[in-house]
Formats: sequence, C-alpha cells, structure tokens
Amino acid sequence: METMESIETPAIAARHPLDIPAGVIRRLQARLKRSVKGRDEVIDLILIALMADGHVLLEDYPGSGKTTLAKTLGESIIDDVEEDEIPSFRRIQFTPDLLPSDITGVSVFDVDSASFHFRRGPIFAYVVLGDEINRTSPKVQSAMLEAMAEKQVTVDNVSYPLNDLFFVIATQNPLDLAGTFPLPVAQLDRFLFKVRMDYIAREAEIDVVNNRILGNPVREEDLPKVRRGEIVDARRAMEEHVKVNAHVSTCLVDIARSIRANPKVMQGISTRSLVLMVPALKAAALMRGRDYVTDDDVKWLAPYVFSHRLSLAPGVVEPHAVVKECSKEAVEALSRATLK
Amino acid sequence: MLSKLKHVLWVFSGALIWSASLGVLCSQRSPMALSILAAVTAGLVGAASGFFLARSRLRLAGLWLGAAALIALVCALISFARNTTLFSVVLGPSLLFSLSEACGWLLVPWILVAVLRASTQRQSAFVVLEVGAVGLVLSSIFAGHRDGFINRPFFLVDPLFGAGWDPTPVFLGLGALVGVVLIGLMASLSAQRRSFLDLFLLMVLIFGCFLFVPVARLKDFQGKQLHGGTGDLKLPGDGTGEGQGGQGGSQGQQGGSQGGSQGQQGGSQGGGQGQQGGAQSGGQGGQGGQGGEQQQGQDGQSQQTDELKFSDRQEQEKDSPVAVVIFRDDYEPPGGVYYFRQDAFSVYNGTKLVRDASGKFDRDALNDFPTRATPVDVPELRDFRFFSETDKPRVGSLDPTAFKQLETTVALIAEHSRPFGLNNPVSFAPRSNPDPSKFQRAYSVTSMVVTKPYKEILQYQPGNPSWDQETWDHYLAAPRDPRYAKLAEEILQTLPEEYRDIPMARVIAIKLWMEKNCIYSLTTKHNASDTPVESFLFGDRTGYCVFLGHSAAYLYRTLGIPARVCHGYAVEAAQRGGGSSLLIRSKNAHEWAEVYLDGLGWTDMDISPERTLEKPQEQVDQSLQQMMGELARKDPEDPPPDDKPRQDLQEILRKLALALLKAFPWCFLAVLAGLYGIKIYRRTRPYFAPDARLPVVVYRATLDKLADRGLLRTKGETRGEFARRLSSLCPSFAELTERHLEHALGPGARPSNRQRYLQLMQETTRQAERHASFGRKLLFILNPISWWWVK
Repeated sequence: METMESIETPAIAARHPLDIPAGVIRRLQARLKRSVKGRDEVIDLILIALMADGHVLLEDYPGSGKTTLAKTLGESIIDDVEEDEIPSFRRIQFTPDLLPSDITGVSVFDVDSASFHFRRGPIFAYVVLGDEINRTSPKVQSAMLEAMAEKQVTVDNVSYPLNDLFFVIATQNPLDLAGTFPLPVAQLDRFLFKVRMDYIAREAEIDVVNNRILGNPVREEDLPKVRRGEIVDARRAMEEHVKVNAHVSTCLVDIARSIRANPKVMQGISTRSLVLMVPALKAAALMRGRDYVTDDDVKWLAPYVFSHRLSLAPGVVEPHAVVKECSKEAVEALSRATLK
Repeated sequence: MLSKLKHVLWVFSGALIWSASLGVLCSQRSPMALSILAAVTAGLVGAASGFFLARSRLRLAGLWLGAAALIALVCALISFARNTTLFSVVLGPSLLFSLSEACGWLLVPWILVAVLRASTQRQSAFVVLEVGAVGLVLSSIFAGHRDGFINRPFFLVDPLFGAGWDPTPVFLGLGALVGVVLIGLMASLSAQRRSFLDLFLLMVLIFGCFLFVPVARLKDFQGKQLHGGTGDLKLPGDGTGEGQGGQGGSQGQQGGSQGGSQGQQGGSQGGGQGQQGGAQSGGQGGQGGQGGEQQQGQDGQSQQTDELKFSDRQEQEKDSPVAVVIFRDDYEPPGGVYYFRQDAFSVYNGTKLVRDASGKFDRDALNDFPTRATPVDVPELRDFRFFSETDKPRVGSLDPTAFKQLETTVALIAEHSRPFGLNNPVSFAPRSNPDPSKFQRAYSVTSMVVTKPYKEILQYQPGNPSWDQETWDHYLAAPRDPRYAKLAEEILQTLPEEYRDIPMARVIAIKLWMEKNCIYSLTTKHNASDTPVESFLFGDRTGYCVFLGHSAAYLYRTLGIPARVCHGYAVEAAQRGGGSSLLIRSKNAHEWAEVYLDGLGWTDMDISPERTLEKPQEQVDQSLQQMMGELARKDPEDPPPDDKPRQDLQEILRKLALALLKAFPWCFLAVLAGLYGIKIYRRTRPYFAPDARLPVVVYRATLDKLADRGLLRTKGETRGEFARRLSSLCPSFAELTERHLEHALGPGARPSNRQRYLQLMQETTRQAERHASFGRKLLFILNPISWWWVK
C-alpha cells in the first residue's frame, strides 16, 4: 500500500485553501438538513446561492418549511460583529399596503439630539426572508430589489450599505394569484435561483410529523455554527481557487445561444445570467468536494439559474424542460471535450 | 388546416396517378370499356383503402401475405367462373368474359394498390416499390419502342405516321410526362422529407432488375395484341384454313412495314401455338388444301413460316428473283450447292419438326434483321469468332482447319421476315439499302464456310460433347414408329461391314439410299394422312423437299445422330459462274436436313433424289445476275461494317456487380482490420502514452473496455452521472472518472501517477467483467466497433 500513500487524493488535499469554504458549507448543510427534512436539494441550492452571493426565490405553498429553513440558516450564522446591531435573521411578510420605508427603515426625529436618526428596517439582517414578495406593490418590490442588487438602501438621499452577507430568500405562492403583482422578468433576474418546492417525500413527511408528536423537536444547537466572517472569507477563497475551464464557459455560451434560438422561447437569457452562473457553478463544485467545475454542475444548475429568466412563447409552460432540452447538446459537447 | 388540405390533395393526386396508369395499362391489355372503368376505379378505391389500411393495426407482413392470398383467391374464383358451364349458360359467353375481365381488373389492382400505398404510408422506403410499379406499368406500354424502333408501338405511331407527323417529339414528350407523373407520385406519398435512402433504393432496384431480368429473352417477347381487326393474325393452328393462305398472301404482298412487323408479331405468338396444336394443324392444314402458306414460303414473302406445310400440290407460280448475294471472297461449296439457311426447325411435335420457341435451341437462326453488328449467340461460333492460333480449342468448339471466313452481303428484293446466310453465320450487320427502288433492305453476313471435302466428313463424330442431356434429347426426338428403326436397319445392311460402326457412314448410307429410292415431285397425296411423313416414307416415296427433309431427319435421329430441318434457299454453285454475285429466285426456296457434327457444326445432309417428275429448272440469266449484283454493290457511302461486338450494357453491369461482389470480402476484411487496428491502438496506448496524455488515454481505454460490455454513456448523461450509474458494478471507475475530469477541467497540471492509473483501469475492467462467462469475454474482445460508440 506504499503507492497509495504517495498518491494525491482527488478531493481537496489537507490544508488546502478550500478547506475553509468546504467546511463552512458542510456545517451549514448539516444544520439545515437536521432541521428541515426532505429538502436536501433546496438546501443545497440555497447554500450555493449563499456562497455565490446570490438570492433565492422559492415558489411554494404555505407551510412548506421555508420559514424554518430561513430561520435555521440565520441562526446558524454567529454574528461576530456584535457592535453593528445587525441581526442574523429577519422575516418580512409582504402585504399590499406595505411601504418601502417599512422594509428599508426610516429617519426619525430624535428630540434629545434635535436631529434625524436613521432607524434601520428589517432588511438590515444577514438572512432576510421575504414572504410572498408578489403580494406587495411594485414600489416596495423595487425597493427590495434595489437593496438586493446594490447591497445598500437609500433613505433621504443617504445611502446605507448593507452587510456583505446580505442574503434574501423570497417566496411566492404559485397559485392564489388574485390581487398580486407578479414579478416581471427584469426583476426575477435579480434572483440567482428560482426554486420550485414540491411536497416532500413520504418518509420525510412521516419524520416531520413524528417529531412533533413525540415531542422530540430537532435540536441543531449541538451542531457547530458558522461565523459571519467565515462565510465572507469562504466566498473569497472559493472565487480564487475553484477553477472554471474554458470548455465550461464555451458550454454556457452555447446553452444561452441555443435557448435564444429555440422557437419556444420569446426572449432568451441575458449575458448577466451567464456571469452570475459562474460563481454558482463554483459553489456547486465546492459543495461536491471539487476545486473545478464539471459538466455535472452545469447540467444540475442550468435549469435553476436560467429558467426564470426566459419569456416563453404562448402555450409553452415548462421552462425547466426547455432549458434542459436546450442545454443537452452543449453539456454533451462539454462531456466529450474531456477526451480531446 | 391548410396543410391538412394540402396533404389530402397530395394523397388524392397519388390515387389519380395510380388510377390513370392502371386505366392506360388496361386499355392496352383488355380494351373493353367495362375493364377500363374497373381498372380506373381500382386505382382510386385501392388508394383510399391503402389510406385506411395504413391506420389499421395490421402488420406489414400480414398485409402482404393477406394480399397474396386474396389475389390468389380472386384469380381462382375468376378462372372457376370462366370454366363453369352454368355461368356461361346463364350469362352468355361474351358477357361472362367481359364481366370476369372487369372483375379481375377491379380486384387485383385494388388489392395491389391498397397494399402498396399502405406500406408506403407506414414505411416511407416502400415508395421505391410503388414508383417502380407505376414506372413499370407506364413503360410497358411503350415497350415496343425498345432498340430505337421509331415505328413502335404501333397503336401510337401508326396514326401519327398516317397523319404525316414525326413521332419523335411525341416520344420525348411522353417520356417527360412519365417522369413528371413518377415525381408526382413520389411527392404525393408523404409530406415528410424524402430521404436520400429512397433515391439509393430506387437505383438499387433498377440496377437489380436490370441485372436479373433476361433482356435477351424480353427482346423476343412482343406485347399481346388482342385487337387484331384486320384478320391477318389468324393462328396457324386454325383448322378452317379457308382462304387463309390467299388472304395472308395478299397481305404479305402489300409489303408495307405494317404487314411485315405484324406478321412478325404473329410469328412469335404462333410459335407457341404451333407447338401446342402442331399435330392438329399439320394434318388439317394439309386437308384444307389451299397451299397458300407453302406458296408464301416459296415466295419468301413476309408471312412467317413457323412450320413447314405439307400439301398435296406445291404451287408453282412464276419464278421471280428474291435476293442478290454478293460474295466478298471466292468460295465453292464442297457439295456444289450453296445453302442459305433462314430458319431451323428442331422441335418434334408428334408429326413434324417446328421452330423452337424457348430460345434455347437453334440460336444460329436470327429472329430479326440486325440493327447493329450482331454476333450469333452460339458458343461454338462465338468461340470461332475470337479464336486465334495460339488458343487451344475448347471441348465442342469447331475445327478451325475445316472452315474459312466468308463475308457476304445480301440485298433483299422481296420482303423477308428474317435474315438468311450461308452455313454457320457468325455475325450479322446492317447495310444501307443500295437502291431503295429495287431492294427492300440489305445486310451483311459473315459466315464460317466449310472447305473440307465431303469425303473427309467420315472422321467427325455426331453431336457435341459440351451438350447437356436436354439438348441431346431435343435433337434426337424422333417418331416412335418402329418402321423407322426397321428401315434404318435395312439400309445399314447395304453398308459394307467395316463402315457400319462409323456414324457418318451410316448417315451417308441413308442419304444415298433415299436419293436412290425417292422420287422428287411437287405433287403428292400424303397430306390426307394423319402422319404425312410416314405415309410418304413407307408409301410411294414421292414428294418434295419438306417430305424428304423430314424423312431424312427422322432417320438420322433414329440412328442417334442429332438432326434438324432447315428452311431457306439452295442454289447450285455453278449458277454463280465465277462472278461475285448470286441471284436467288423464289424457286430456290428449299427445305433440307442437317446433322450436327463435332467440329463441323450443323452440316447439310440434303437428299436430292435421282429421279424427278418435275422439269429441270431454268438457268438464270447471267447478265441479270450481273446487273443485280452491280446494283446491290453500289453502296459507296456505306460505312465500313462495324466489326466491334455489341457492347452489352447488361453484361458490363453484371461484370461490375460481380467484381464488386468479389472485392467486397477484401474491402470488408480491410475495414475490419482497420477497425481492429484502431481498437488495439486505443487499448494499448495507456502503456506508452506520455504522462501528460495519460489521464485521457487511460480513461478512453477504460471506456472502450466498458463499451465492449455494452456499458455506454448515454447522450446527455454527464461523466459523473455515468460513473455513479456504474458505481455498484465498478467502484474503481468513479475514482478514475474523477481523476480524468480533474485533469481535463481542473486547475492545471498535477503529477499523474502512471501506476495508479493503470491499476484503476485494470480494476475497473476486472470489476466490469466479473460476471461474464468466457464466451462472452471472447465476444467482448472480438467486437470490432465497440470503441466507435465511445464519446
């Protein structure tokens, strides 16, 4: 077995710069999976979005565990900068009568100092759960989306930067659309992923119910948490050390071109979406213990990243299927390229 | 909606094409309004049925089998209805006939069209069959136009000629029309795109048909013409005989192209008929006593003599010149008589010898005038033609020392139905008519003429060693009458003892005996007999050449010597008088017996009786002969005879196909070797590849080995997914895949460990074939193209 000793392991070697980000992901994964059952892929996608500095739009029905998910994520992050008074987790329930200032915060007059003080809104948090984002007015939506894009809010001509680790999990109900303001494609573009959550598997559901009946709520307290700074460092390390081959970028462009050429698509995906895809791919690779992106990652993420950025032709209802169909050739070419 | 309408329109146009071509075909084959209506309906209904059949649950094979069974049933039913007295009594024969014809024309095409169209709709490649079928139907109508006969088919060209029009543009237009129709049919079958495969299949179909359809046989086949309104096509076996000869004769004398060619058609038709009803016609034709047909034979006129007629009185009409033969070289026949063979009769039908209609025997007599240089299709003569001094003669080929090549030009004064030439013609070639006001046509014949004196004939053996049993039986078929054998035995008794075992001596003995004991007379009384030849030979032995020839041939055959009777002209050599031209008169018409000798071929063994009841023939006017010869020779613009053998396209293609077939195994082996070479190269490459390439070549070799076992990455499956799919079977493969991907997509070069890679490859292979038996492993190794699918 001498030979075995001398061989480098295919996974990341010890004291590799990617050890830290990998560990961050592992710890978060463990905590989330402990508290939310049967949502492994959604958890993975959310973590990827977190690592890739993107935001997630969950499309699901009430009571599917998204608050638990977002809350657990927020609680898993140790606020290592106590002095900024930014909480780990905030939830905003969007309603039609909400005003932008309700989420960004407002300047109030302090009688003591006879001056205006900015009172931060709920958006100043590491993890923000925006529940039913399509129920609120476009004005609020745009304020929210500006915050997501710019990582800052502007109140009374003063810009207040948000934390580096500003991560939004928005939800919307796919049914019950009466009185809603559906997000236009341009705004959907701000989200890295749009994830459709289906009902969880039978076993997982039994598990959830049993936990409640037996009074044995899941305790994730004993699992290690992650410090805020670690996540920010992990992002930087990932950006630096996970390799994206030229074949992969070719593949992404080919997918985009194929989608644009498809007659089922009215408006194809933007170049920005390809740029956003790269960190997501890196995070996915990292999550799978690799320091390079493969065809597997592209195939996995392409539908989640691209399908909400398309306008489909009338009569076509399955954006995932369209993206899969369009990416098949390009991914196959990427797979074949490895033997060249 | 619009596309659906378009589709329906196309389908309908296909139905129209079918119904039109069936109608046209029917109008040729069964020209009755009811039949044509039935055929047209069959096309439409068949196409519609095909449309629905294609949507049924029946399988294609079932469709075809069912159709075959149905067609057989329909044919059986129609034949039953025709042969049952009840129906003919109830309906009357003519109504029954037209009804049954119409039924046949309705049902059979209906079934065929339905099945063809259904097949095409199921499987687009069947379009080839359909287009082929319509093409065949349409081209069969113009089949008479083959070989550039501008005056055929008659039904089309005769009216045009009558109106003074040139038929060429009509033919070109019709050809183009047929092309358009076929393209329309092809387009009508499906709105989907036509693949190149169809085109290829069509070409293969045509090529295959061309290879395997015997074109030479087809040439002798003439379309069945039912509407012979003029009555000149009465069958020879027609017992009434009343006025037939005269009518035929007058027809013949009209001479025009129509009479000639129709006579020819009647000829081939009558060939079969004569064979069937020959016994009857032999006796009854004689009873008719008209003798007209014989007269035509004498005349050498256009009416065909498929069989030689026996009659009581051979008509002697005025002696007229029929042809001029110009000898290109001096030649004196050893027997003193030039025999110009026009026709040969060798099929014994119970009474007499008739022409062979199968095309297998007597191929040295041509059926048509040559339109280009035509070699005679007889093996020994063909050999002769290409025989050179150095070649060793084959078994059964002719003795080169016994012959010399002689070219003759024949200018016909009277219309003939087929060309004649001296014995053993090797090739015929057309010549331009030297003087159309005097001559009907001209052609040249190259013959191998015998130069050996007759006395040397004794050394030759009868028959040909290369003949098969069928040929022997054919040329030895003789009457079973025991009197022949008895007579032959008697004649042989006159032969000296030492010659009795020499076959040719026996032949000559018979010839001499007959010459001594028969009397030549144009008047006989043997026709009343059912067996005219026996009546002659065992009676008063008084008769003319037909009787003499037949008797001699039967006696020769009784002795086991292959013999036949030939028809043509016999002219005394002395008549030529040293000049180069020979005038043939109608009185030179003759029938004689021939025997086949190994090395000499067919040799005349004519009987010229010592005693004759007829006046001696008048001598020909030498100056007339000279003058006609000069006229016939006046052809300065004649191109030199095309001596090249005709390039037979079919033969060339057949050779090509054969060569391809022969080359195929080698090509196949070469391709196989190439495939194995690539397989081995890809497999052994890991052992000598540079380190930088190692992850790729090792991975490829592993994939090849997995592909041998049918484990292939499906399209759209990523490398990782494939490895996960195989993880339970080959756990090592996952690591190998990871290493490979890391090399291909990972962050730059890392040291690759050759040993570990090879180990992983071997482990994966071992795991993959863990459960395979030895036989299967062998199969894995032998599969030459498994690597092809590795991507």
